[in-house]
Amino acid sequence: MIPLSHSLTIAALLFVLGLAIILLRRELLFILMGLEVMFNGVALTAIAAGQYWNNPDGQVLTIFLMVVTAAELAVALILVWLAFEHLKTTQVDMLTRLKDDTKGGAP
Amino acid sequence: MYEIIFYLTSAIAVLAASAILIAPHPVHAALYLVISLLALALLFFLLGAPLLAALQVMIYAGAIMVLFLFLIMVMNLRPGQNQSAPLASGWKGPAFLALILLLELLWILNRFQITATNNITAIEPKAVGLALFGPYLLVVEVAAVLLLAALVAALYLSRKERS
Amino acid sequence: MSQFLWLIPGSPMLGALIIALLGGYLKQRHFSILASCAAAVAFLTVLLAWLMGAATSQPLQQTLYTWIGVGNWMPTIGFTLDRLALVMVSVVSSIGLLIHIYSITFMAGDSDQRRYYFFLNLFLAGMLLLILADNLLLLYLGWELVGLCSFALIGFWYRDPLRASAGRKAFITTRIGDLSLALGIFLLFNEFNELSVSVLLANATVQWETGSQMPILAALLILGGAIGKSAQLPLQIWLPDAMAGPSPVSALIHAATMVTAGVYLIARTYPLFELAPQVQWSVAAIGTLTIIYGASAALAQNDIKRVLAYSTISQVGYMFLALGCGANALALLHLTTHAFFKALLFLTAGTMIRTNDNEHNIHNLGKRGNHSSLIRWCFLIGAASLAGFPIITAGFYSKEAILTATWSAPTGPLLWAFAAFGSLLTAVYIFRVYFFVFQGSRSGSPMPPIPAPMTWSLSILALASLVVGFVEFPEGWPGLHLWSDWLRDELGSASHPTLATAYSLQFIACVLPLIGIGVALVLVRREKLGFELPLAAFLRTGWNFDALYQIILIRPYFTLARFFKNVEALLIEGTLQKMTRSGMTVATACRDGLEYGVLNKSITGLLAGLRLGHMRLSATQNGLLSRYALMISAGAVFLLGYWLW
Repeated sequence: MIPLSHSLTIAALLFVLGLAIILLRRELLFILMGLEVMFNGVALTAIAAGQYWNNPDGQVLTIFLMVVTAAELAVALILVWLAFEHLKTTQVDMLTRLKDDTKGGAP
Repeated sequence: MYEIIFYLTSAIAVLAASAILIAPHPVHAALYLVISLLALALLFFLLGAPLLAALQVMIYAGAIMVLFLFLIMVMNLRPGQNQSAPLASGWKGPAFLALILLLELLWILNRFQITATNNITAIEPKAVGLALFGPYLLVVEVAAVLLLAALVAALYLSRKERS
Repeated sequence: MSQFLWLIPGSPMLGALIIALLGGYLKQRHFSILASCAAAVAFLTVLLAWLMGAATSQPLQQTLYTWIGVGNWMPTIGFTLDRLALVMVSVVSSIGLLIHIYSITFMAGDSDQRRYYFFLNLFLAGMLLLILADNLLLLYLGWELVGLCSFALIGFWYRDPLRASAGRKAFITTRIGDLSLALGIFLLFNEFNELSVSVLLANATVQWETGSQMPILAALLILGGAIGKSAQLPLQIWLPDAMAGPSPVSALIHAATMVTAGVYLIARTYPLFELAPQVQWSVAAIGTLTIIYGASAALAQNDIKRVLAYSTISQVGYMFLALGCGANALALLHLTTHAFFKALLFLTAGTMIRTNDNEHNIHNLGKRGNHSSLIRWCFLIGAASLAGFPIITAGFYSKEAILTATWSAPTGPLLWAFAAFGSLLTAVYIFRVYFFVFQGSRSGSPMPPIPAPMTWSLSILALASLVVGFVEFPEGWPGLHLWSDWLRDELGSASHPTLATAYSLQFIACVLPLIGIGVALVLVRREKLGFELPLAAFLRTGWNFDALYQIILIRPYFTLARFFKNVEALLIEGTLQKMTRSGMTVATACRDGLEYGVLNKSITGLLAGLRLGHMRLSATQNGLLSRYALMISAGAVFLLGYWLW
């Protein structure tokens, strides 16, 4: 049988990999994919723990996680598309419109 | 046998996720993500959550990945064009941070000594359904409202610009 | 019956929601009708409760919904209608209804009736919720709701900066009290893991010893909340300024209902105060001081609404005095009579102000001399009731009862002397206003007719100001003693002095208002000849409390804020940049003048240092998503590591 800690370790690995993708890649699409990987790590935690206590709550939580992900992605992907359409790029390093305008002095 | 499948699947899930990290092309990355998600679906099944395994395949690997691929197709991204190297300069800091996080998480797991073995008993979809529409009914309604809001937002953002 | 309890706070809430959400589809004049209907439904439900025998039966209860469920702790959206709550909802819903009706004509010309009626209905809902709540969490919700509505309605004409700042002042001052109440609720929850009022009080009386530390702390914190809401010393400064709102709002919120929320709160939790006799005594002391404060400040005011505001502060002081003496039922009686006669006074004042081109000054109102006899009689009835004119007015019965009950409390004679002096002052200041405004009034130009809704609400209030007191005749008199008998089980009763003492006290209470009226007559005559009261300026500013707070609270606060602003400005890049720029100017000037002297070098060195600091600091604001994500996760990782340590 699989100890719970092994499932949790795998979940932790997935979570950290997702974070690494977000931090290291400079493309909006990749960042969103990293987010998905992180979400899945969390889902694995919920399910493994739910099975451990023999309780459907873990699965219920994961279903809600999926709902939130779907809602978030639907909006996020359109925003990526809008950014691409208006600014012709999806590189986060190029999207610096929110940068403080230091040339104009303090706001 | 069961253990072999479990560890093999988890290795696939983790390896596919790390492949996203270095894949140069978005389509490749998306495919690696599908692989990782499908492996996770199998893990869910092995952990005794058949409903979630099916949902994972349908929603993530099906619907969400189609959205990703569709967007990549529309944007027509190619490597080299509008694209940075897989690992941008200054990758050491973030990588170090991620490593520290991993160590911390492992430390937590170690510290709380979760040694109990998982006696797999599958939780049937029926139990999940009863939980969803019993104590969590209100949350289901809220989730429906959230999806509706996302739908409205998506429609609003994707409307034709009226000048 | 109990399944209809939700209608009492529910219908005004529904009215507010309809006005807020669907108001776009309605016409201006429909708002008033809709809001009045919502208030009427609440009033009729209360009436139904009376008819169904809620006054004699066990407390009615209704639980609508489990609000939050955490482990064993389940605060509910639940209502309890016991006798205390029944009195309060009757007062609030009836006066609320009358004031809604009065507002129909008062606000008819205003262009923003949607906002007005939304907040008026929401206020009514919040107040009824506060009264009916069966747990402290729900009570606090209503408490904050009335605070919010009070803020919004005081600053209703927000384009006038003075009125807007009066709203803010009320909000901030009462917030101090609210914080104290919140801390009190936290404390009680921490001790008992329970917020239901009845269970909480039962547990407290069992577990806590009289006079021990915990009940004193809890009672003090609750008292702090009550002081803020009820405008008692030292948090009374917001009420006089709250008169910037429309007159019906002053009548409803700042005279009849919201300011009595503190009295209700103390009456509701009175077992806690009985466990802390010191705090109970300080309730009485605060009440007494406030009586003198409010009455003396009212004596020197020239703005008619400010007189009424200070008079409210002082009358609520009587309720606190009664609570402090353990005479909770009498506090409630005075609350009821006060609600009626003060609403009456405010509404007549509002009508006068409106028919005389927004004239607030009593001297000018008197000079115009243009008041219909209805207004005159209504104001006279209200004033007589406020002054406690013997036998025929309601105010006499409630105030006399409180004075008599004070005598046998600890340090009773002292408290009694102050309160009796306050009652003399009350008669002086209110009849000073009456004589100024109405004496020698000659009917000049024909006055505009008073619209029917106003006439009705004024007449009903005037009638109530006369007869409500008959439910409780003084000790030892023939007549009814319904009130104290009815509330004895729930609120306890105070000890009485011997009958002989009581008779002499009653005699004094009868004579004092008459003396006061005489003094007022003399005072007005002399003031018309140019006589100034001693200390008039001091009294007019409310004992200079605003200036005092300016010195001891606001100015140090501003100094501190300015200090931090300077520190921040030194660090922030904007200043660095400015310094860079000025450094550059100086450097250029020096280069021109000195040509690479020592001075020049040191200045360019300074310049380079400043520029380096500027770059380092502004580098954090680079707009790079990945950098921000890195910072966020670094923070999270650091916190996790710290927690694991």
